[in-house]
Amino acid sequence: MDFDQLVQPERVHRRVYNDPEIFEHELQKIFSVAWIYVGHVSQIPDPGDFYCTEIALQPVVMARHSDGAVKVIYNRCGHRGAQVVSPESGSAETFRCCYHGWEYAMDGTLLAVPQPRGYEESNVRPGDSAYGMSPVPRVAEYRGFVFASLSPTGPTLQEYLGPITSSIDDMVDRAPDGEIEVAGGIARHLYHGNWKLVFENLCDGLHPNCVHQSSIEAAQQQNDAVFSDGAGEIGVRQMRQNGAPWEFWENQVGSWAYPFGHSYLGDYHDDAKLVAARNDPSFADYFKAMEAAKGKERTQEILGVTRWNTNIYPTISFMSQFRQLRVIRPVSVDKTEVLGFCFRLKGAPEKMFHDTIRFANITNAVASPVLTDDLETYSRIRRGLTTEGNDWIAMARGLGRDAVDADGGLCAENGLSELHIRNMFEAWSGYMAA
Amino acid sequence: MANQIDHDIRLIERFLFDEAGMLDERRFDEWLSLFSDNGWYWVPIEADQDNPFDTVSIIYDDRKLLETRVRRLNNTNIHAESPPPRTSRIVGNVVLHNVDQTSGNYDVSSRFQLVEFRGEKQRLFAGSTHHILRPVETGFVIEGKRVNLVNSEGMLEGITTIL
Repeated sequence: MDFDQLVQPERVHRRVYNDPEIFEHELQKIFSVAWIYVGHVSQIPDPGDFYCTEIALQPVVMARHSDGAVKVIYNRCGHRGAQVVSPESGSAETFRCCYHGWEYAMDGTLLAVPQPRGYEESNVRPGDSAYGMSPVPRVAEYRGFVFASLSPTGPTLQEYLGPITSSIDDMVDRAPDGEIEVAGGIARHLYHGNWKLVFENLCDGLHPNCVHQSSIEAAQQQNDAVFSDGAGEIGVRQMRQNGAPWEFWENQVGSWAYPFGHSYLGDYHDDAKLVAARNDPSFADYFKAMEAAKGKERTQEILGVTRWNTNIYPTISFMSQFRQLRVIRPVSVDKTEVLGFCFRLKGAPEKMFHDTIRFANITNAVASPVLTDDLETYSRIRRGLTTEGNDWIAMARGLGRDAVDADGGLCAENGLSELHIRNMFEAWSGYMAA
Repeated sequence: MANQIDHDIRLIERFLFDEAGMLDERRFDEWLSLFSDNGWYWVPIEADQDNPFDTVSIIYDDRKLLETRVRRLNNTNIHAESPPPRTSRIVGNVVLHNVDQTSGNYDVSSRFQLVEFRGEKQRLFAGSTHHILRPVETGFVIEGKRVNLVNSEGMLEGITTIL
């Protein structure tokens, strides 16, 4: 298949979003090759802790081994092939298969085979790697964010992330104690549409005024004097912010793009204007804790970063201001799961974490007055792209107006550019050509 | 005493059935008016979730957010409700668990099944509802409403219907 024909400088072919055959190729050439986000180390703090997820539709387990190391293994018994670990997360002494009771260590080593008599003439015995739960080829982490690759070769995680590590730094540096942890449960949803749509949407400054018109207007008309325990404060403020005037998106918001398809929307969020934080006594406590831990100058520097969503292609999108992370898992060419995680800043007042939860309810919950209009849009794109009247989808806005940034990436003319989409398709073409 | 309880249960049932009717008939402003000035509406994600502050929820609305949610449902530019869903719900198994000695509030649980149809799709929701009801002259005021969906921890598609 000639994938080159499907991507042009300012538009892409609809098959990229709805052809099952192309999706199969993506699983092989992108999801089985790229560094895929697996989880955060705080999800498995102690030996025996595990968290189950998937890579390229294949179940894997991230687990803390007895030596403290983070392991990622395929969730498949070395004996008859059953999925071994079944709860999504938990803690265990060993992994024991439900079928015949084979037992494994957290790194997948086969520990015990019940009724070993009869295996004497075979190679089946504890420790034999051919009968273990196989480790995935490569695992690496950056500041607690664990990634895995199903390909034994390719760029290192550091090379792959490149300058976008600064967005992960932005997440972690905001913790007075220098560490963040996953907390507060998982907000899940499923939409009927291709996996690329959510990445394209999350850094699309052009859509909120139109897609979110109903929640913007509802929030603008909200009487501020009505009782709120905090939920409405955060929620209404965010909905109103989606309705920022065009001049704001054109003059104050920027978009940056980097190799391997990564990008972020920047200069959108401003603690002074948007978060209850600055006027809130708990923010003063947070500020003090930050200054005590990091000094005045460094604190200013850290809190001066005003990035909104960062996309690490092709698996996560996250933002530091409200400490949210979305994991995007393709199910099929037109079905996608999204898992929303919250992070707690260690050393920060607990009130800030409550604001994190409130924000997640508004942006990531399946019944959110904001998200539901995005999901409807994805579904309509899926329907619209079945038509044969036009094979092409535009990504032309801001074309030819990008500047090279100091880190070797591209800086769009403004936050209304579709640079991030063109950038993802440049990466896509690279993966698919290999 | 038994007669009094039977009488109360009847009133509560009538109230819950009326509430269900308001939602199925999309009389959202009327539904909103059932809530007290600091009432809340909560659909947790985790089955045993004990509060809406430390864990994400499918919905957690204080009075302010609830007003905004309802106002959005009445907005003609709500894409997720274009076309709007039609719903039909059955409420039953109503139990009065407790009358709070201090506040006088009724602690009530019930079960529901709700069929939703929108566009090309029909969905079935089911679960239990917990109401905290304050008796007033005209009936009851909702101080709090918690809905436990049986599949709250599952992979759900967007929900605009009020449960």
